[in-house]
Amino acid sequence: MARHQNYIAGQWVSAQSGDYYQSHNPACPSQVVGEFPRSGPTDVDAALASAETARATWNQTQAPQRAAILLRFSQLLLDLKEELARIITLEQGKALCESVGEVTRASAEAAFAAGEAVRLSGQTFPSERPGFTCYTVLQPVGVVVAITPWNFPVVSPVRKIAPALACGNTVVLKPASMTPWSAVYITSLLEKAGLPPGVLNLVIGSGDCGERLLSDARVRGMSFTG
Amino acid sequence: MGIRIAEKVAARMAKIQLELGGKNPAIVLECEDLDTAAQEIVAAAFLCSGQRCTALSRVIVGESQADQLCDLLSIQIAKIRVGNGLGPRTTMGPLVSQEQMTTVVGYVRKGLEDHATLVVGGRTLTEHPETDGYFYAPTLFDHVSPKSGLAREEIFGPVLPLIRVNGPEEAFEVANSTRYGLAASLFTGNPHLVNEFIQRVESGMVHVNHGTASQAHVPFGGVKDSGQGAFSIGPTVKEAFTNVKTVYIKW
Repeated sequence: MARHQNYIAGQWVSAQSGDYYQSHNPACPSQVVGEFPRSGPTDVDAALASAETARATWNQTQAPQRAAILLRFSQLLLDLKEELARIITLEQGKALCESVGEVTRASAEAAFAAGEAVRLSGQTFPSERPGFTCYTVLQPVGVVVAITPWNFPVVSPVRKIAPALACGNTVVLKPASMTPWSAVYITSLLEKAGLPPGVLNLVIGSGDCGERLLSDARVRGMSFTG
Repeated sequence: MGIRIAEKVAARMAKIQLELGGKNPAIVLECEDLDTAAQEIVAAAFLCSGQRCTALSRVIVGESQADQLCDLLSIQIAKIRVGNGLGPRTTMGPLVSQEQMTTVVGYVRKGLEDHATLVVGGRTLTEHPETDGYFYAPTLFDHVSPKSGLAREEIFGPVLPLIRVNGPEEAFEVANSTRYGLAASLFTGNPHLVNEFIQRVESGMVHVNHGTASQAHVPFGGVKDSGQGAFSIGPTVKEAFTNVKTVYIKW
């Protein structure tokens, strides 16, 4: 049985408390599928500080570069879909064929989000005054928090992370405490795809972490499914 | 939960995107292919053991087709193979937790107390779920009152209530009678009803002659208590994660 970690500032780290909790297989609840950090306020603060620091460089990254990372991530999801699908089924319970479908779908959504990175276009307007140029641009909101549910432990995080990153935001992901293993796996794939340190941060824990994330002034965008 | 989150985040004027629950109706009226309708409804209702926000979680059917549809739904439900998700023949896994199991058991008990007719299922499949798994039989109720908990509340489990109505007016009224507005399906051979359905049903997503399956590049979201903020998936998601900046240059 593996012991998993948070991912903060490009490092896999235990919770400050050093505490872990066990996650179970709903088809066989006595089976422990993994141990996960029981994060607290200090860990949330570290994740937010990391996302805030990475913001300045990530939002200056050229859009095609962000797209390329997300396309590599999309391909990794496809390449490793059998392995990830098995993790979904072990921690969430759904039939393996459904889990394979979920990963395939997540890959497609990540690929679409990659394309959106280079479609962040604004509008131009004719001016009522001579000598003026008027237009709009789209800018990232800043640090985005993604709080995701247990029923779709892969597609729901990807549905939030991929477009948020494509738009130039940095992200803190807080997955459901019953299905954190899939989130660990997704995060490792984004790391492999070349996502710079601090751009995505993973904090595993109970609803207390989510509460902390809701009220922090550094968080400029919140996407919640539940 | 969603409203509380919205209040907290709004107080800081941060952007928010909420994807919340649903009580998604499958309306069946003047349907020419009830067999296909039953297949689509059962697939959309019991995928992920019914633990999907877009699961079809109530059937609203015209009285003239209700008996036949109920039989066809039972036939499709009998094909579901419940078991460990890793099993090669399994098509429906367990519920995710004891808490979900308790919720489902409670709704089924309440349905029986409210005199709905249990057609199939309505029981746990293991004597000791806490050790043997949270397996619950796919369940169909008929003659469900549109005012009951089974008909109006999100169960998030493999329980499908069937509500009988007398025509389109009552069907649309019942469809709109919950606090949710995420997804809705209509099964019909009448094109006039299709237009009525698209116009009148309070729902972020509507589907005609198929279940509530979404696609990977098409906007996804809900209205009423089912969601707030930009739709996810597809081009609309950019609104959730960007701010517009307007530029004037005099040169």
